[in-house]
Amino acid sequence: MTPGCSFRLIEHTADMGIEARADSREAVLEEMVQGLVALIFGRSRAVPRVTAEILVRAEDPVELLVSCLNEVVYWSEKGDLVPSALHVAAFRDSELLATISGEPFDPERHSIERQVKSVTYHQACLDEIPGGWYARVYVDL
Amino acid sequence: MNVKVQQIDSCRWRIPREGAMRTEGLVFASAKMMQDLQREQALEQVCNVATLPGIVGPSMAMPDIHWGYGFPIGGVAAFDADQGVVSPGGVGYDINCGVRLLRSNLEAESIRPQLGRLADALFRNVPSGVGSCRRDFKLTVREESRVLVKGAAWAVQQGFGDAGDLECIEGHGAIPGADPEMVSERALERGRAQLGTLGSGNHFLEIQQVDAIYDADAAAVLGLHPGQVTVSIHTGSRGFGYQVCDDYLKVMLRAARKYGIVLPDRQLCCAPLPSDEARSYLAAMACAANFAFANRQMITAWVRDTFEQVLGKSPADLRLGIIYDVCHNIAKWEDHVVNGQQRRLCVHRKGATRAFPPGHAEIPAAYRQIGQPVLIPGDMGRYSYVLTGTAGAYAETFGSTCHGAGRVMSRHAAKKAARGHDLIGELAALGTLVRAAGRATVAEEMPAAYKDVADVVEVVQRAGIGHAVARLKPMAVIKG
Repeated sequence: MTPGCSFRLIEHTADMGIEARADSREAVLEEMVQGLVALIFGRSRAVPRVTAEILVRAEDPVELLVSCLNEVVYWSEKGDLVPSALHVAAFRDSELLATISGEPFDPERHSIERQVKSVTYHQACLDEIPGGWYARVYVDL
Repeated sequence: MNVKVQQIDSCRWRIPREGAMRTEGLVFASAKMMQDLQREQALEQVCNVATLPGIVGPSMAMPDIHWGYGFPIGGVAAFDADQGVVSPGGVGYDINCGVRLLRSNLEAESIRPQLGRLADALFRNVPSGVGSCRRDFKLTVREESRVLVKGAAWAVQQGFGDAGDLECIEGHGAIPGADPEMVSERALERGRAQLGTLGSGNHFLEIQQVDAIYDADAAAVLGLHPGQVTVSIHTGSRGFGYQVCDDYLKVMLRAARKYGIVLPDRQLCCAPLPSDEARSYLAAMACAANFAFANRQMITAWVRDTFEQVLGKSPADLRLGIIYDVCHNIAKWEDHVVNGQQRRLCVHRKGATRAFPPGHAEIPAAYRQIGQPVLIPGDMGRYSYVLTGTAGAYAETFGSTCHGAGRVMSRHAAKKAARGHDLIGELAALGTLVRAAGRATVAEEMPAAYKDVADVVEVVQRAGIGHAVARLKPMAVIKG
């Protein structure tokens, strides 16, 4: 784990993965977003100046996790938002409502470490574990 | 999962049918490659693909196989038109990621003094890296629909190249059946911003020199000779293709439930080929494939402009003509003979290249006697290869072969190995100039992160699923 974080970037031969642990399903998703932002923007930090609403629907929580992370990929690629944090308002079994905050990409202060094509469903998981929740995804780079 | 493999010969390995597998696995690899493969999950992915309904022949992997997501990278699988499935994960996010090779009338030594200026100008003129685009090109909503249907021909109509270019592109630069109505607004939005861009990661634009010729007759047919300058373009359908794949994975997850398809990995989600879901995906996938053909065509035009500007030569002097353009992430309808019977199959190539044999009707007339050109990029420090398709590949792998070197080192491991090295300086000392949008990409794409592509080509040759014609050495590399 990165110091001060509960997410970790994990190895893959061609791509990379993200895993996180937290004490609730909402918190683990928020940590996964921090991991994704670290993967895309490296050590660049953003301040919360603007927000975007994320509403995704899917058949189960794992699909919601992947869909939500792909929303973050989309907003990051547009350049409208270097995310600083995700706040989950409601995480139901087939619907997720969240707010992502951050600021527009500023080449003076932000750098792009890698382009993420997409967050994949390969070995994606969102599991309740003793004392909290665990999530993992692999991303295509 | 411990995958059992049985060695067939020096370059073939069988994975016996077990559990839910509907067919066996067939992996092309040397003994050393197989040793490395058993440390990662790619072989398990070959087994997973073998569980999909309607698979015809074995679930195969080319010698550049490595751990992917769903399908292994280097995976080939064919599915019956009635009983089989189509899986977006078997094509990948970068639909019609592919390679285009240009020949020239230039000799390597004659351009070496201007190589730095050429590399700088290409880096400026061909948008590379995340978010970059040409200020003098804007794609309208109406024109985008035409790109998706016409592919490279759209670009030619807009003045990016000439009609002769289309002769030497797989499928003449367009896949039939494209329907823009099957594509989401978000895919269209991402596409408009990214047509005519190289991208980042392993995508590149490379000035090369012909370093070795293995088959002089075939090289002559392709117009290649030692010391000649060539240019390679490796890119695909950019954000448009990523979004099409992502959209249809959701459709296919629902379809798999609806049709009762048991998935060993969600990324293998799929739908029966005769279903509406499959038809919609194939129509959207064709749009993305055509987007990629148009993308490589536009970049080709900017490469030609750049050479003309920097070297002060005319198009007639430069003769930057297309040798071939071939995709390596695609699903295509093809006719193949299986156990003596002609069958219509949907062939998935995920990190694998079509390699049709001499005489095949889909090969440009000028190359029909030698077989389809196959373009195999290596890493930015060593070399790339030009091969031709063979009768062996047509008989054994549904006319498929490898697509590149294949990674051996994770990105994290590569960055760690690059620490303390001036990679750009070291490559320059070896004769390869690098221009890159980010240093992180150079570190993650360092030559040692990849297998030696010569080892991959050696297995391909030994197995008879490709025939080496020429080797190309990088002179200047543009990375995103």
